[in-house]
Amino acid sequence: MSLYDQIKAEQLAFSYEDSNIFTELTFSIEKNQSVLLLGPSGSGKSTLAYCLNKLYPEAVDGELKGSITFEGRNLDDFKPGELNQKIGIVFQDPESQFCMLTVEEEVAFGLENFHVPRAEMEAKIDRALEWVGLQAEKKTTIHTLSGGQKQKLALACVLVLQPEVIILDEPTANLDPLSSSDLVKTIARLKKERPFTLIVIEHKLDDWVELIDRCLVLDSSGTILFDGTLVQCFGEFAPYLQKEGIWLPKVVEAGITAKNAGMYKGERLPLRNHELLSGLEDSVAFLKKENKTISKKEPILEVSDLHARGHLKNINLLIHKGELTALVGANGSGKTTLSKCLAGLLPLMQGEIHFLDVPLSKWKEKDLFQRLGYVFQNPEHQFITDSVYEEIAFGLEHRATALDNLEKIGLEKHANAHPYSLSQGQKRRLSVATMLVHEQELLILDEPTFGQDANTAREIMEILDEKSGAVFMITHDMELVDQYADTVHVLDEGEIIFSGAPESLWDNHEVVNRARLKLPFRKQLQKDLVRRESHVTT
Amino acid sequence: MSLHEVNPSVKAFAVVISILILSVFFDPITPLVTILWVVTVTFIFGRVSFKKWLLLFAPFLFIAIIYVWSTMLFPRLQAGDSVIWEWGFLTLTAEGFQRGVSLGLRVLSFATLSIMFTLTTKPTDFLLSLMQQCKLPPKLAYGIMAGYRFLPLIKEEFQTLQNAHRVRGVARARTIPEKVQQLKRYVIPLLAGAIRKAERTALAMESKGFTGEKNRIFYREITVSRIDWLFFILMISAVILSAFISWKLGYLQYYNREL
Repeated sequence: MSLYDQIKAEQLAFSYEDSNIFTELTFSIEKNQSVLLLGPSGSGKSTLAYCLNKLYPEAVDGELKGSITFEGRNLDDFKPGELNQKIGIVFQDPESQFCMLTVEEEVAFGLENFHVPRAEMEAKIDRALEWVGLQAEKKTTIHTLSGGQKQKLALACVLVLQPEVIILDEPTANLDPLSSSDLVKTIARLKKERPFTLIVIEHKLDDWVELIDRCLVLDSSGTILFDGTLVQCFGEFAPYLQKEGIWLPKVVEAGITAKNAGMYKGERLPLRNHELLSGLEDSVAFLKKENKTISKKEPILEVSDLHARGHLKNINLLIHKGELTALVGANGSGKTTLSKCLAGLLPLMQGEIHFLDVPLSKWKEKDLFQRLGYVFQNPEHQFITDSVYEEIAFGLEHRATALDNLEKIGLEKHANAHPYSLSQGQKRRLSVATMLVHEQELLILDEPTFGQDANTAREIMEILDEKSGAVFMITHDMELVDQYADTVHVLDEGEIIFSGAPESLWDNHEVVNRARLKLPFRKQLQKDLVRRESHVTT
Repeated sequence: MSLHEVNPSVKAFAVVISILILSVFFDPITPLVTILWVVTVTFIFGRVSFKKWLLLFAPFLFIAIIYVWSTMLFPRLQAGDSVIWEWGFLTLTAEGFQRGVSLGLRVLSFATLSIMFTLTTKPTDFLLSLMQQCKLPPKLAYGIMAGYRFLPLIKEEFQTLQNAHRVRGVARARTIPEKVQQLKRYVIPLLAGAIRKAERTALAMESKGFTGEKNRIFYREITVSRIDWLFFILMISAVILSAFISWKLGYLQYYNREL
C-alpha cells in the first residue's frame, strides 16, 4: 500500500433493484494521478463515480457494500456536503446540470453552499471563469451558451471550489470534435498549473492519451478486468478490451488491424501515431482506402433553395439511391433542424423538397412514412407499444416476419419485454430496426451511435451499411464519415459550405477548420507520415 | 425609480394587501380608480411593453365582460329595482347594471395588480428574495427554480414525441379509447424523461454541496430599502384613496356576497 493513496475502495459492491451493478471492486487511487475508467455500457462506471463522491447510494434505493476511504477517512464519517468540496464532478449532459439562470450565478451556487464570504465570491468566480476561458460570458444566460461552453462552465463550477479530485463523466459526449479537444486541452493545462486527481469516464479516448497515467477497466458484469498503466492497458490488453466492446484510441485500433494483417512488427501496440508509423512495414499499403464505387446515381431526395425556422438558409442538396450520406457540423449549426425538414417534420419558410420526384407537401403522411424513416436521438421517443415484439410488428401486414427482424438485431430473447426495460444499446438497435421493417427507401438518423459502446456502434453501422435504400445520418464522428459515407455535407451556421466525397473534405482545410471538424485518424496518420518522410529527407 | 428594482417580496406583499382591501368593497368606483392608478404606474415606472401587457390582460377582460353580461341581463330582481329596459325574459335594472360593472371592474383590478407584478419581476429574483426576506426553505426555492427551467424542455420533448409517433405511422386519435391510448403513449415517456432530468439536476446540485441547509450566504443579496416601503405605502394609500373617492361620490358599499 502506498502512503499516497488518496481514495481506497475495498470489496465494493453495489446492487440496485436486486441486480448487481458491480461486485468486489478493490482498488486505490494515488493523489494527483490521472485515471481512466473504462468499461462497456452498463458496467457501472458512472455508478462507481457517484459512489466515490457519496452521491450514491443516498440518491437511489441502491445498496452499497464494502468501504471507501478518502484520505484515510471512511466516507460514512463525512458530513453531508462536506465531501463535495473535495471531490467535484462534471456530468455528461450539459442541459441538466445547472440550476441557475446566468453563468456567474451558477458558479456562485457552489460557493454559496460552502458559506464562502460574499466579499470573496466575485474574485473567485472571475478566476474560475478565466481558467476555462469564459470571462466574457459572466453575465450571459446559460441556455444561450453552446454545448462546449456549457461543459466549460460545468468545469468552472467544480474548479471554483478547488477540489482535490475531479471526476469527469463523459464530459465530451455532446460536443463536436473541436470542442472536445478544446475541453481536454483546458483540463490538461489546468492540471499542470494546479495539480489534482483526475478520474475520467470517456468514449473518445484519442485526446486523453497524453494526460492519463492509469486505466481501470470494468467488464460487463461489473468486476475489474484490468488495473494498470495506460501503456500496459492499450499496448498489451487492447484486444481483450475490444472483445468486451470497450472503445479504444483510434491508433490502438489501427495497430490491432495492422497486427492481424501481419503488417505491424512493433513489440506492443502503438499509443501514438509515430509509434504506429515506425512499426508499420509498409505504411502506404496500410493507409490505402478501398474506394466504393456506386454505379447508378439516381436522386431520391432533392432539396432546392430551402430556408427554415432557426437559421437554415439557401440549402441545396441531393440524396442518391443506395448512398450513405453524412451531415456534419459544429454544435448548434442546425443539423437536427435540417434533418427534420427533410422528413417533413418541420415547416419550410421557403424552397421545396422533392422525395421520389413528388414535393414533400403533396405526400400523404401515411404513405410518406412507409417509404421514409426517421430515427430520433432518444430511442425511447419512438416506442409506442408495450413489448419489443409489438414494436417491430406494429403496422406490418405479415406480422410473422417480425420475428425474423428481431433475430437480425439479436433481440429475439427479449420479444416479450417492455421496450423501456432494455439496455441502452438494445433500445437503440430496436429503434433502428422499427424503421427498417417497411424497407423504407430513405432512412434519416440523428446521431445513431451516440452514447453506444463500440460493439453496438459497429452493429448499427453494419445494419445501415447493408441496407439497400439511401441513408442520411447526422454525426460528430469523423471515423464513421471516413469509413462509411459516400457523400458528406458540412453545415455551418445554417448554410451548407461543403458537399462531396469525404476524401475531398479532408483535403479542404478551410472547411474542416471553419466547421470545427477534425481529420479522421487515417488522414491524420497520412499527414504525419508525409511530415516524417520530409523530415527524413531533409 | 423602476418597478423592476423594487424588492420582489415587498412588491408581492403590496399586491396581496391591495387585493385584500379591494375585496372588502363592492362598487364600480373603487376598482376603477385603482385600475387607472395601477396601469399608470405599470407603464410609467415599469416600462412594460404594451403588447405583452395586453396579451396577459385580454383573457381577464374576456372573463370580466362575460360576468358583466350575465349579471346585467339575469339579475336577482328585488322589489324597488328600477327597470331601464325589458325585452322578453331579459330585464335590465339600474341596480343590476351597477352590480355587473362592479363585478367586472373588480376582476380587472385584481388582474392589473397581478400583471404589474408578473411583468416587472424576474422569477429568480422573486425566489431569492423569498429565501432571503421570507425564510422560504432553499430546498423548496431551488426546486421551483429547477422546475421552472424544465418547462420549455418538456414542451420541446412533447413536440419531438409527437413527431416520433407520426413517423411511426400512428394515426391521429379520433375515438375516445384511441385518445386515452394516445395519452398513455405520451405521458409515460414524458414522465420518464422529466424524472430522469430531475434526478440528474438533483444529483448535480448535490455534487456541488447543496444540502438544503437554511443558513446560506447568497452571492446576490436582495435587500429591502426605504424606497421599497415607500412603494408599499404608495400602493396601499392609492387603494384606500380610491375607496375614499368612491365614498365621496356616494357609491361605496361593502361586499355582501353579491356573487
